[in-house]
Amino acid sequence: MALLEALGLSKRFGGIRAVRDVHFAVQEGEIVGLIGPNGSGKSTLLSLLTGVCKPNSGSIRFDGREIQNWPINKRIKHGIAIVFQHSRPLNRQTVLDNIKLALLPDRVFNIHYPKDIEVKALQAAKLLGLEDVVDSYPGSLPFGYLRRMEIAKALALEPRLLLLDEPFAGLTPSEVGELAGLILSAKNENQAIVLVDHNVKAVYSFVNRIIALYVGNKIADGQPHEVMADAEVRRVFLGKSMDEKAGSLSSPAGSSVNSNFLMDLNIQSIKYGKAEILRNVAIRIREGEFVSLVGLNGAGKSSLLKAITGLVNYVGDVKWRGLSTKQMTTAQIIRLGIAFAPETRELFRYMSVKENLELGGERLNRHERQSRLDDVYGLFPILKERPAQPAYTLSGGEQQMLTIARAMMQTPSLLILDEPTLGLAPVALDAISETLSTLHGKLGLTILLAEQNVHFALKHSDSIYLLDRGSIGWQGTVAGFVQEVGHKYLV
Amino acid sequence: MHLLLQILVNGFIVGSIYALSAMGFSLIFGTAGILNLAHGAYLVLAAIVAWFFISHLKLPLLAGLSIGVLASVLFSYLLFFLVVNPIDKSTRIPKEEKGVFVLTATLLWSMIVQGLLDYMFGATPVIIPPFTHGNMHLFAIKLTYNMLILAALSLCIIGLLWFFINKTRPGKVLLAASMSHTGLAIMGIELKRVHLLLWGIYGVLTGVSGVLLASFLGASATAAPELTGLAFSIVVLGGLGSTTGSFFASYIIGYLGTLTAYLVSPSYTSLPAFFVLVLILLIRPQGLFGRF
Amino acid sequence: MSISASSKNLLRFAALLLVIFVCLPWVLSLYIVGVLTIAFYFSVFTMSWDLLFGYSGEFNFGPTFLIGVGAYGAALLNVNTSLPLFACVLLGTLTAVLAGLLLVAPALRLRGPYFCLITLVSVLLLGEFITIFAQYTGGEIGMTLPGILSTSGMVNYYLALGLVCVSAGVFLTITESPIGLILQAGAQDPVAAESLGFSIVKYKILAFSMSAFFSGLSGALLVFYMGTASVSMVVSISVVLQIIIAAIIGGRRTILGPILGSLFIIITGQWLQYLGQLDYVAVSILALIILLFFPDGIAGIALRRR
Repeated sequence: MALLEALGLSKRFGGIRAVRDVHFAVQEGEIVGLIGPNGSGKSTLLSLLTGVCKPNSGSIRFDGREIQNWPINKRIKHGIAIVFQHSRPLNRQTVLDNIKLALLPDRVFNIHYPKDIEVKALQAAKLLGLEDVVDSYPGSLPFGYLRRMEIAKALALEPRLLLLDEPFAGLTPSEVGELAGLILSAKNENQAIVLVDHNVKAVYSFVNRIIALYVGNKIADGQPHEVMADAEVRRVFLGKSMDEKAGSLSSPAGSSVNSNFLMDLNIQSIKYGKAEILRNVAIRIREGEFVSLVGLNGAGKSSLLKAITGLVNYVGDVKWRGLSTKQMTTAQIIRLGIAFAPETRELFRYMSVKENLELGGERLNRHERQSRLDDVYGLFPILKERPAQPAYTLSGGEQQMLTIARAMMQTPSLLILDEPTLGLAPVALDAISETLSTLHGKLGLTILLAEQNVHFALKHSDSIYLLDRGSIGWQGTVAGFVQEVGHKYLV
Repeated sequence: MHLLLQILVNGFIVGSIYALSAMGFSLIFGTAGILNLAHGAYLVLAAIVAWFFISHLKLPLLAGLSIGVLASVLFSYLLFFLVVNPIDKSTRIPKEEKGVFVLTATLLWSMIVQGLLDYMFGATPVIIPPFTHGNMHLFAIKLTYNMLILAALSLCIIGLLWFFINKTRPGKVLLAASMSHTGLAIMGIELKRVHLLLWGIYGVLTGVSGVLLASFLGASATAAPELTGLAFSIVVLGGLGSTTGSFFASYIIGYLGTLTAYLVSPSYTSLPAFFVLVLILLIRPQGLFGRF
Repeated sequence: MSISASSKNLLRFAALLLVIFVCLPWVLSLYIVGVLTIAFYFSVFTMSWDLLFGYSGEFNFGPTFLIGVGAYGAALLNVNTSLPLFACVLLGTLTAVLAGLLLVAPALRLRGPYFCLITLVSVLLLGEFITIFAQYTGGEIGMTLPGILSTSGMVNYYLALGLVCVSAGVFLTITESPIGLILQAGAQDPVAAESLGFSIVKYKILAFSMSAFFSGLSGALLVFYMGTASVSMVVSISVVLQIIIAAIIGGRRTILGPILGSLFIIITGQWLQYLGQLDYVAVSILALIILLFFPDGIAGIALRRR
């Protein structure tokens, strides 16, 4: 009997079907990786396994028992352990104390620490190579150590199944290798692991089996080399095949880039609390250019875009046509002619498509707004068909279209897009792709795109900036990218 | 039989005025995320200021009422500029705790306003003179023309508010603000302006409902916390975040209060509302229509 | 078990305070000793509040519900039965715990502002009840009680100080123990705490019960010290505010800070009495300023706890 079985799992959020009828099984001792592009449903699937949310239909069996409606702590008590991507340690306690927390029994009258807790905590720390830092405070440690501490806490519970949410996110390639090695040696042969990660290469060498998801459906399930050779998986992850792409990966025809700099960005640092997310990033965008920021999840792309639009604080300056925007509010920056389609979309959920668009044109008078609306409907026929539909009932692709359309209502000089391909089916993706080509190619709109889907970015860009853990790892033209760095990112 | 009809009528009037007051309270919560604990104090403030200008300074009724409403608007802006905005912008208060600090600050503010009113005007209840005298005798129940006007005014204003929020451009901006602040910012709309509009409308709604309430039932500084508690009961019963819910809940609470006043005793009027609040919080926290 | 550096700091601080307080009555007038006695009872209220807010992350808007039930429970028993004083106090305290668990504790399993709301309403409800049953409770005016703790100012002072020590001792034991660790984890990130296998609600209920017990106990003892029980002393919203402000001024998440905050509020309250009705206004304005500009409070800055 399998240790863990998922049968017909489905989960929807409003109009978005995140997980659609997924079946799979995990055996004792197996290491299984869940992969898929952004928005494929892998995170939601993990949330169903951890208990953060409950499925709309289907069941999860652990050791033969149905657990899909169990609260999180009950799952933990029965042998499942979880490491979340964004766990916050207790900063006022040492690493050892943090680990001790995991070892405490769930007993209300916990006046004294159990006698052997110190020994056990040290053991757990050693498993993950933390013996030198047990008395340090989390605030003073580099990110990689914090990640290890979280995994040590989970392993201290001696679970039969370990669920890891993006364990390799934000780590350097060497840190990834180190962590993978530590986990493998720490785990005993009966412990199963299910993990989710964007870093396909890291997952590939670490797991026994891969399950690939796309737009909520399971599209492959088997040994790593089989799955990665699967035609559909390759198509979904890489767009078209490498050979087909090679020819078209050059500067798109018809892009006229003049030498006026619209935006000159010089950011020394962005910090969230103590963690430095971005450091020494300098980017220049010329009028008519299509600039892409590529890089893994956690590389800092979103933070950079939020800094440009005034949504987060930063050290440095962003100049628009020579004018400093550092002291401006978000609304003021937008009014300069910069439109922003954020990763979280920020649609007005309960308002209709038309109302959302009209709010995009809020600063125009009635006449101009109507004419602008007609233009936008022309660019986005999907939206024209359903003007009265509430935004939250739209599908993922439609919501993304609406986000971009709403931004276009402002007749911007620069359009900034943060991960527009998030969770989109191929048809929607192609539609977005076409739209961007029209906006850039025909209308000459300057575009700044942040994308994890490198192929999508390459298809449209004039220049590429590669963000790697908070700083620029490489920059240049598309052709240069393919030649020099492509092998790392284009599997 | 005529007692039942009287209750029906009175409950409806009280419910309508409560609904007007709840609209403001609900609006501030839905759009700015603030449970304004000084709400009751503002209702009373508008009433007492209006009464003062009418009874002591002998101003005509409408002028006095307007000044009362103005006082409510003024204090709403004061609350925003001196308390809410500074806390929001403060770097000393950690983000997770800001909500709780604002709550405490509004409670403090409520004490300050109530304390000042109590000091300046005493604790005796004040009654605002009616709009017009004369009454109708319909099925042997007492129905003054004033009562009709109060109910009609409340419903009219609520109707106007509905129209404003759903059909006008600035109204839709307010509505959008309750859904996504960032979304508005990236439309190039300055959030400060939205807040100014919001608190102004709140001041008007609260001021008007305050004077209307005083016209029907009278008002006194000591009643302020009770009125705030009633506003809570209404919005929680209706469901936090749902103005439709607040509307219907106002009538439920209004009727409960009227029933209690007639069948048991007038001094127990707000008791059932509190019971309802506790029950709802224990049994069905999301209320009737809640989005939480 | 090793004691961390910050815990050692805390203990040193506590020892210092204790020494000072024990010595004070010998150098101060009886009047001030009386004021300090009240401040000590008040400190237990504020420490209880800090256990809930600073450690469990639950903002209690109605500590006076628990205090009031404890106080009035004991008072009613004293007036209407011939039970000995300590029995009245004990029963009053237990009633407070029971009432709290029945009415308020269920809200602890909800996320959102519900706990805040229900605690606020519970206070309003209690106030209404006392007014309605004025024939038994003395209504707005209050009740005079036959029972009294002691006629000696010094005895009363040390009794109150003793209570402060006991309650501080209990609270600190909890906060420095594994329970404290779990509570803080639950307050900071409930999902992460759940994912370590803890059912956080249990611990919050424990903290709440402790808070209820000591609040009720202190309330009951306070009314027997004063000889009267009234709404304005143990139930009204203004008392709620004073407790919250004292806890924040003193420094939240320190247990000991609220003691300092209580002293500050009670003593300032005495000074401002000449303002008559406006004294509440003055304290509220002062508190608002402190809230806006010094949210970490005295002890917070002194102990450097984040």
